[in-house]
Amino acid sequence: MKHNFIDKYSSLSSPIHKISPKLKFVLFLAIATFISLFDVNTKILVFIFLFLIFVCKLSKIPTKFFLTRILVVSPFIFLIAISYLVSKQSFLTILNVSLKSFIVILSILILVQTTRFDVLIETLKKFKFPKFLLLLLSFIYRYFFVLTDEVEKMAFALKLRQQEKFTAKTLTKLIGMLLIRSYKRAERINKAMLLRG
Amino acid sequence: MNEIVIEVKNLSYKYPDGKQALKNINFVIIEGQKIAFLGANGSGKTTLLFCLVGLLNYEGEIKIFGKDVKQNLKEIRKNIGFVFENPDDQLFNLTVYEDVAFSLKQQGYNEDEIRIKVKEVLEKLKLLGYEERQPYHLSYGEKKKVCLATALVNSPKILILDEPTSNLDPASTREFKEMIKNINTTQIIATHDIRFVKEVCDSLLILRNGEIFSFGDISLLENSEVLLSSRLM
Amino acid sequence: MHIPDGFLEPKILVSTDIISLAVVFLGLKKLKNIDVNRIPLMGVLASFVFVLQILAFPVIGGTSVHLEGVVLTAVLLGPFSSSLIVFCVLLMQALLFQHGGILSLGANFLNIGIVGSFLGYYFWKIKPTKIFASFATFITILISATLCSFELYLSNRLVLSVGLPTMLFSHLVVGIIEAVFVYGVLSFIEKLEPQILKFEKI
Repeated sequence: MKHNFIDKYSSLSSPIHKISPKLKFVLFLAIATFISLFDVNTKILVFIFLFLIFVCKLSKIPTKFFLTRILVVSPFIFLIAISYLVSKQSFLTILNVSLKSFIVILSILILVQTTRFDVLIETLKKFKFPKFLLLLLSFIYRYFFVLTDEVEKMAFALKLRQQEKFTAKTLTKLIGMLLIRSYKRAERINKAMLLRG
Repeated sequence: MNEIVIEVKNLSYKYPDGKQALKNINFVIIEGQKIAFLGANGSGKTTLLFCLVGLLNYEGEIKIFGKDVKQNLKEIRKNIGFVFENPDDQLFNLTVYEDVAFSLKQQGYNEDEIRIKVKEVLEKLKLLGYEERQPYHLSYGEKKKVCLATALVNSPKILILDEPTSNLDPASTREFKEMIKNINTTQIIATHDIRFVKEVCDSLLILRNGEIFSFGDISLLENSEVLLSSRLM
Repeated sequence: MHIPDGFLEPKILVSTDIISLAVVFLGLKKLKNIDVNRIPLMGVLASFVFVLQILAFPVIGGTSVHLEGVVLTAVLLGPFSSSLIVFCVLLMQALLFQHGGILSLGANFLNIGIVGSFLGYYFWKIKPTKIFASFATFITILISATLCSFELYLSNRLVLSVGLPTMLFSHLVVGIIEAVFVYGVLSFIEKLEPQILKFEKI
C-alpha cells in the first residue's frame, strides 16, 4: 500500500519549497528560540501568526492540514486554561501562550513540509548534528512505512478472522510479533551489510 | 450449481495518495469456479482481493452471495477464507492450535466444537501433531499450510489465496497444489505460477494497470499475447 | 505528556535542555564504539517505538491510550541506547506530527526518555523479571507525569492543586495499561524469541 503521509507535501512545488533548506532551518530555529525565550507582546504574536499562515498558503500546504496540526495543542491549552481560570489570570495571557505554540508549530510545519526528509537530514548534518542520531532518524523514517504496512496487513488479517475491535490481548501479541519481526529484519540487514563488506 | 457468487460492478479504487489502483472493474464469478487473478506486480491484484473482502473503501458495487459487501462485512467474512501472501501477517499466536482456533473463538463456538473443527482441518492438511508447535518457528512451507488451515477451519464457501506458492520449494508447491485441488469451494487465486494456474484453475482474470485486460476460460492462456501481459513468462 | 513549545518558562527550558543535551552526549560517547551489528538493531527498534507510539491500545469502554515503550526498550537494550532511541523518536514526533515542541524537547526527553530509561532500567535491575519491568513502567510513567506538572507549575501555567491530581489520575490509567502490556510483550518474546532478551545492555 502506498504511504507517504508523514511528509506528503514535501514534494510539491512552491516558492517556499525553493528556499534553501539551510535558510529555512535557521529561520525556524530563530523564531522558535525568540518565541520561547522572550516575553512577546500579544499584538506582535498575532502579526507573526498571520504572517506564517500566509507563508503556509504560499507553500501550497492545504489549509485544513495546517489548521488541524495547530489543534494538536488544544488539550494542553485546555489544561492551562482551567488553571488560569482557577488562578484568575487574564484571557490575554492564555491567548499569548496559545499564539506562541501555534507559531512554533507553523514554523516546524513549514520547514518539514517544504523540505524532503533526506534533504532535511543532510541539512542537519551540515549543522553538525550528531551522525549517530541522524542515522537513527533515517532508520525511523525508512522503516516507518515498512512497519506500518506490516501492522496494516496484520490488522486486515485480524478483521478477516472476525476480530473487528482488537482486544488488548490480541494487540499485545500483534505488537510482540512486530517487535520480533523488527529484530529479524535487523538481523537480515546485518547479513546484507556483511556481504557488502 | 451455477449460482452467481461474486458480482462486481464498476469497481474502482484510489490509493490514499491519489493514485488510481483499480478502474472499471466488472466481472462475475459463479459457484465452484476456480479463477486465477493474473497480472504484473503492481497491477492491482492484491488491492482487488482486499476490496472483495471489504478491507478497502472502494467505489462501485460488490455483492457476494447476493449481499452488498460493505453492508454485510461480518457475515460475508464468515464465509470467506483468505490466505495472505506473507504468513507472518496472519500468524501471531503461540501455538498452531491457537492460531487455527482463533476465528472460531471470535465467533463464540465452545471448546469442544472448536477442538473438533481444528482437528478436522489439521488432519486434512496433514498437520496432525502440530497443535502445540509454535507457528513462528515453523518452516515457510509449514507456515503456509497453517495459514490455509486458519482459512479453512470456518468451512468457507469462497477461498481466496494471495500468491500461495511464492517462495515455496518445488516439493511444497506440489503438495500445496494437491491440497488446493482437493478443496471444493469457489476459489480465487492470485499468482504468478503458470503451472499452478494450468493445473488448478478453470478460468482467469488478467489485470493490467488496474484494469481488466482479459477475462474468461483458462484456454485463453494459449494466446501468447495474453501470456505476455499476464507476466507469467 | 509531550509539552509543546511556548508553554515553558525560559529558565525551565534552558535547564532541562542542558540536562538532556548532557545525557544525549554522554550516551553518544558510550555508544561510540559499539559493535556494528547493534546499529541496525537500534535503528529498527527506534522505528518500532515510533510506530508503537502511534498505535492506539484499547481500554474498556471504547477508549484507547497510547503506549510509550520506553521502559521496554531500556530493559531490552540498556539505558543509554534506550535514551538515544527515545530522543530520536521524540524529535521525529515533534518534526512530523508537531507532537511536543522542539525547544521543549529537553523537558520532554527528561520526563519521558531519561526517567523511563534510567529510573526504569535501574529499578528493573534490582530483580530483572517481567514483574519488575511492569512496576518500573508504572512508576516511571507516574514520575514523568509529576515532573511534567512541576515544569508547567514552575512556568506559571499550571495550578498544582488542580493540575497535579489530574495529570496523576490520567497517567494512572495509562501506567497500569502499559505495565500490563510490557508484561505481556516480554512474556510473548520469552516464549517465541528469547534471544531478544539477551542483548548487551548499554
